[in-house]
Amino acid sequence: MKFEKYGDIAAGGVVAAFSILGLAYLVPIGVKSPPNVSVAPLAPPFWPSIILWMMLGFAALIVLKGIYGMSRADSAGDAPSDAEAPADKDTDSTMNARVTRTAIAVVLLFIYQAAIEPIGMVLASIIAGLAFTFLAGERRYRFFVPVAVLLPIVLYYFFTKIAAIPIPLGFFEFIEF
Amino acid sequence: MDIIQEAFLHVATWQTILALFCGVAIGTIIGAIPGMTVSMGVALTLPFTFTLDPVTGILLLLGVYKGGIYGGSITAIVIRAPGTPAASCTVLDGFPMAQKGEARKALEMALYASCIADFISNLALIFFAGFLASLALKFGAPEFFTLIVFSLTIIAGVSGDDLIKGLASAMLGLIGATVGLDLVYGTDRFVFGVYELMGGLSFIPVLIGLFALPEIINHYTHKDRGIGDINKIGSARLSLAELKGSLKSILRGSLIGVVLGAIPGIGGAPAAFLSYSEAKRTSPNGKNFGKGEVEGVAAAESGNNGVAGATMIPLLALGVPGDVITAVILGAFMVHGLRPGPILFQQNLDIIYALFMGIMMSSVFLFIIGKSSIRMFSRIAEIPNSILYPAVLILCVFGAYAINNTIFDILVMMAVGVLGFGMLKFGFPTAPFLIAFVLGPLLEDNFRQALLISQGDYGIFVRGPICWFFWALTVLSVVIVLNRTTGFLKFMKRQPKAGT
Repeated sequence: MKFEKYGDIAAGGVVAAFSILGLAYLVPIGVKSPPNVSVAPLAPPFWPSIILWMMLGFAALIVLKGIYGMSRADSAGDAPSDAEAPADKDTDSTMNARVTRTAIAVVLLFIYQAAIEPIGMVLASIIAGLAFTFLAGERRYRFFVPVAVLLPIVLYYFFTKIAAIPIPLGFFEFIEF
Repeated sequence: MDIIQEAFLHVATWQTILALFCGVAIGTIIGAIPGMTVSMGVALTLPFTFTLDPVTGILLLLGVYKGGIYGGSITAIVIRAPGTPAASCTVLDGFPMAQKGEARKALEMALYASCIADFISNLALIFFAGFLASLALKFGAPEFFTLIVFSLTIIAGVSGDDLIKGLASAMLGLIGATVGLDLVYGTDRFVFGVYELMGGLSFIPVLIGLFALPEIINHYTHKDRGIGDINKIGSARLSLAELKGSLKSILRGSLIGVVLGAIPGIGGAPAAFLSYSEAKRTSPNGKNFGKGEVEGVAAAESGNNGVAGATMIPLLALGVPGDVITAVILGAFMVHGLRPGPILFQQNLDIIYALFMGIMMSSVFLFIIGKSSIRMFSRIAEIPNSILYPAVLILCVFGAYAINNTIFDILVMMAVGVLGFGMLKFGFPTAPFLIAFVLGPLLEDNFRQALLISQGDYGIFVRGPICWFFWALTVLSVVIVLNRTTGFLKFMKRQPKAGT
C-alpha cells in the first residue's frame, strides 16, 4: 500500500514542514521578546527556536530513514504489491467507507464541541452519544439509547451537585434542575 | 512511650478509622474519573475536615490522596483514559493487557504494586524524613535541570521500535509546553490573541486527548467496527510467580518514587516513567514492554505510588509543600492551628506519630478497597466497544471541561486527540510527547533560572556533585540507548581488530 510505503517520508515531511513554519513564521510572529535581553538564552524565542531546530533535524532523519527503507525494499524486490496482497485485504470501497466514517467521526467531534455553548453540555452530549454510537454501527437501540441519555444526566448531577462545578446548559440555563 | 500511646489514642477511634476508610474509597472513585484530579478531590474534601479532630481531618485528606493515586490506574487500564497524570504510564501496558482479556490481571498487579510501593514510601517517610528532606534542600535550579535532563533520557525507553520518531514526538511535546506566558519576561508565546492560551495548554485535556481520543477515533477505522466486540475480562488472574517476577521492578520503582517524591515539584508522572524505563532496560521481559507486559504495569504503578508518602517528607519535615495536593493538606494543618516543620516535631510529636500510624493503616485500606473493587471495575471492559467508546468520549468531555470550567479545554482535548490519532497512524509513540510536555516547563524554567543566577555562565550546570552525578547518569543512559539501537559498543570493540 502506498501509505505504508511512503509513510515515513510523509510523516517526516509533515514534521519538517511544521518545524519550518514554526521557525519562519510562528516564532517571529508569535513569540514576543523584550528589547533589552542581555543574555541570549534568556530571550523568550530561544527555547522554542532550539526545539524547532531539533525537530527539523529529527524530521530530516525520519525522511532519510524512509528513503533508505524504500530503496532497500526496492533493491531486495520485496516491496508489497497488490498481487501479493492477502485475500482479506480491503477492497477500495471498504477502504473508502472506513476513511469516510473516520472523517465523519472527526468532524462530529468538533461539531459536538461547538454545540456545547449554544445548546448546553447535557443535550450536546446526548446527541453526540447517539450519533457516535450509531456511527459505530450499533443498532441495538434498547441498549444504547438509555446509556446515551442517562450518562450525561448522571454526569451533570455529579459535577454540579457533588463536585460543585457548574456545567453549561446553553439555552436551558433558565431551567432549575 | 507515652507519646506513642497518645498517638495510638488519636488514631484508634472509630471516627478516625472511618474517615480514613472513606477517604481512600472516595479517592479511588475520584481517581478513576478522567478529569477529576486528586488535587481537586483533596480540595473538595477539605471543608469537611474543619469540624473534625486534626488527626481525623488530615487522615481523611491523606486517604483521598492515596486512593486517588491508585484509582487513576483503573481507567488507564480499562478504557485507556488515565484518571490522573501519574497513571498515564500505566496505559502503556495496562490497556494492551485489557485488550488481550487480562484486565483483571492488570488491575490486580496495579493494586499490589501500588500497595507495596505505598507501604515502602510510608516507611521512608517515617524513618528517612530528615535525611531525604536535607537532600531535597540541596536541589537548586542547576541540580533540577540536570535531574530533568536525565529524566528525559527515559524517552528512549518508551519510544518503542523507532527512537527517532520518539524524539520527534518529544520535540512536539516540548513545543506544546512553551505555549503561554514566558516564564521570565511574562511576554506572549504562541498565544495569538487567544486569552485562554495565556495559561498554557492544560495538562489533563492534553493527557485525555493524547491517550483516550485516538483510541476512540481509531475504532471508526476498523473494518467491521467491532460491533458487539468486548474486551473480555478472561479468567486470567495474577499468579504468585508473576508477582514474584515483578518484585524487583516494584522495589526499584518504589525507591525511585520515594527519592523523586521527596523533591518538591517533581510529581508522580516522571517517577512512573523513570521506573518504567529502568524496568524495561533491566528486565528479561523488556522486549514485551508496551505490548501488554504485566511487569510494565508493576513498574509504572510502583513509581507513581512510591511518590505518595514521600511527598509528605518536605511538608512534615520542612513545612514546604511539594505540590498542589500537599499545599491543600498544609492548609488543613493551618486550619487546625498546626504549622508543619521542625517545630511540629518538637511540640506535637503525638500528632506526627498518629499521622504515621494512620498513613500505614491507609495502605491496608487501599488494599481492601482496591481488592473489592477490581471485579466491579474490570466489568467495564465487558461493555461492547460500540457503546463503550461513545460513553468514554462523553466522560472525557465532562472531565476536560471540569478542570478549568472552560469549553476551550474541550477544543484542546479534541485537537490533541486528532493529533494523537495522526501520530498513531504514522507510528509516532505518544508517551515521549507526554513526558516532554510534563517535563518541558520544569526543564526550561530551571535552565533559565540557573542562567539568571549565574548571569549567563554555563559553568553553573556543573557546580556540584549532584549535577555531576546526574550528568554521569545521563551519559550512561545515552550510551546504553546508543548501544541498544545501533550496536555502538560492539562496533567500538571491533575497531582495534580491524586496525591490526
